[in-house]
Amino acid sequence: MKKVNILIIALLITGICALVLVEGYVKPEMRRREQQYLLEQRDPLTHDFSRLLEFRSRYMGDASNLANLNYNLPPGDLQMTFQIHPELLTAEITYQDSLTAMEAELFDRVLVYNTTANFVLIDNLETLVLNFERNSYTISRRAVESWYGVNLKTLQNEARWADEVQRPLSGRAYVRSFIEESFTIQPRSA
Amino acid sequence: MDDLKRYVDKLFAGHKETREVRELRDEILGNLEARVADHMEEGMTYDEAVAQARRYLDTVDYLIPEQKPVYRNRYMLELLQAGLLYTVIAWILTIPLRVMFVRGLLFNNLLFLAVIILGVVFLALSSRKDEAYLNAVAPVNKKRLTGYRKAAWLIWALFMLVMTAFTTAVRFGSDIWFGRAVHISGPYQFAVIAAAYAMPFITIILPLLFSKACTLAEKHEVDD
Repeated sequence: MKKVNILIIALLITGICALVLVEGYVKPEMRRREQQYLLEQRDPLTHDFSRLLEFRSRYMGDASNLANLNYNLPPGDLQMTFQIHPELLTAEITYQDSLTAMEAELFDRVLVYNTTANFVLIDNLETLVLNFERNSYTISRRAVESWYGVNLKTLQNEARWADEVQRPLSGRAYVRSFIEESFTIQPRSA
Repeated sequence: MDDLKRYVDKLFAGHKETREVRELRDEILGNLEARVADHMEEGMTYDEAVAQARRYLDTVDYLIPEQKPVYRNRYMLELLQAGLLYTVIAWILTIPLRVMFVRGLLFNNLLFLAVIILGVVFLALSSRKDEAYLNAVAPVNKKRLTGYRKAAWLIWALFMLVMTAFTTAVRFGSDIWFGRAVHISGPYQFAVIAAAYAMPFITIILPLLFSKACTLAEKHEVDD
């Protein structure tokens, strides 16, 4: 009886130490990392591409896949609606939220990054139309392929994505060139 | 003699009707009837004779072969101690679940609450040291206890089977249904799935307690 009582007391002390460690250090640290990760998902330069790989699809007609892919792209908290025109292999995304508050440089990066991600991950998507509050941005697969100079599917490799898509986005001039050369921009009627 | 028969039936009320028990009951009834007859011959009225015979035998607990007298309070205290030990171990083992999912946090808190309650009861009972309390004797039906132990392990095995199937259905049901490969994104995700499977195993402390109850019944049996 006495030995077991000592064992119980020792275990209780161990348990309380473990509890303090978990509640006092492990959980706050996990929360901090989680917040840091979520913050990183808001910018294309720090976005985690691997989380998008589960949305690879051969068909642009898979509406839920298209929606999930775009909701997982930066900045991650925008409301949008989707229209699919399968006969034209065109997807149209209309952003409900105003992006005027977003920094212009970040907006441009988001535009390039998200567009590239859609074409890289959805095999038969030929045209993408992105409708924002003021302008409508239209881009074709051919234009994106010609920009990168590779078969877009090869960019599904995480290392190549980081080298050829993500890292160059830190250059302001690079991003502006992409937008000016590859997108057709039209003002939206009120 | 119906009063006597009813009394004897009442004494055996909680015991399973086996051939041995039936024979014992008949023997006791015969014995008590003889005693009543003797008392009446000595001049007692029928009611007095029955009351006198009843006083001679107020329990049959120790006469039934499977029933063994044990030191009740020592037995209960050590069983409570085992329960406390198992619960503390279960509580420690489930501490990592606190970081994985809400159910794990609740389960761990529940075990901590059980540790506190069992600890308080154990401390209260173990503070009693008087001889009368420690030497109090009560019968334990060892055969019944062994039966409970078997049933506890069987129910636990079934419970584990159901819980494992349930976890598989919840975690991988749609993958299995649509024939998709199971995708586990990393070590943390693997740990979460492993924890979901492992959590119900903690309930093993219940059948273990039944096993301990059998062992302790032997240990605390009153020597003749």
